Amino acid sequence: MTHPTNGLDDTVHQRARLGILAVLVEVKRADFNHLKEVLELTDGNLSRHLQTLEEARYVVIAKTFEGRRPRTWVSLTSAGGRALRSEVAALRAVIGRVEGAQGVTQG
Amino acid sequence: MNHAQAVTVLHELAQARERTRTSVRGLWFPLVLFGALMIGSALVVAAISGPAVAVYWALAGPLGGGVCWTFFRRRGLARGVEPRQTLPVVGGLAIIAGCFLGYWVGDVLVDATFAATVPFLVISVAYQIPAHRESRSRFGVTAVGLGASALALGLSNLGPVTVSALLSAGYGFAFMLYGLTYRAEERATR
Repeated sequence: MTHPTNGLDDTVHQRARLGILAVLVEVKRADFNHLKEVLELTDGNLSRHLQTLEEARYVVIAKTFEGRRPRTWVSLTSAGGRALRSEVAALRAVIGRVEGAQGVTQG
Repeated sequence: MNHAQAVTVLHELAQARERTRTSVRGLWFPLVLFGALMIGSALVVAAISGPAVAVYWALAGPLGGGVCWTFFRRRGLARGVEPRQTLPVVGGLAIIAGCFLGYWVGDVLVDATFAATVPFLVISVAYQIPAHRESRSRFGVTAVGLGASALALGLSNLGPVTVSALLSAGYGFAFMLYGLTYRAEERATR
């Protein structure tokens, strides 16, 4: 039997990147400022995480202009959605395994 | 990763999702808009005739849906999140279709008075979905109460025009009132 932590994806298994995917799963797309505000990240930090996720093809980044103001939109790909679901399942398995073991010890 | 870290990460994810959901939600708008349209339909039923209400909803339903679509899109863009619109659009069309089909089935199987109540029962059932999704149990309970009133009127001796006008006005005022209360709550929490 493999340990649930083996199911954790190195690209996604990072709080900020996981947070980005969690925000994006709720909407069609979110802009850079929304992600920055919700996840409480700096511009540079968020940019680096987005780049990593884009390289893994978990998100798509589109730059648009509203008048003269640039706006960066980020959306989740189906691979990103799958990665988020499997990461959450792996985290739940870690919790379940520990709580199961505690139940056996206490019982 | 240990147990405590996994619990913390899952909690943080839930918080991030909830904050994003808060940015896109706004059930108050369709409630106020369709509440007003229902009051309008009560006036149409009372002033013109029962069948005229079918024409009224054939026009007002899609128009109201279009206004809601524009509202959510513009609001989402202003807040930096574009909501998914497919489900609400399909849901809205299904409600309109269900109301027309329900009216026809009620007329064929029972009588005209009962047929007039079926669209309201469809609306009561349909509104359980957004009430559940937005954790608005009070609204879900209100919709069930309105549905029970509709059923009681449908089984009464009142005529279909009276029943339709009473329910349109009742649902309309209830939806508008709830929508405005919801909006006030939403503003207070922002």
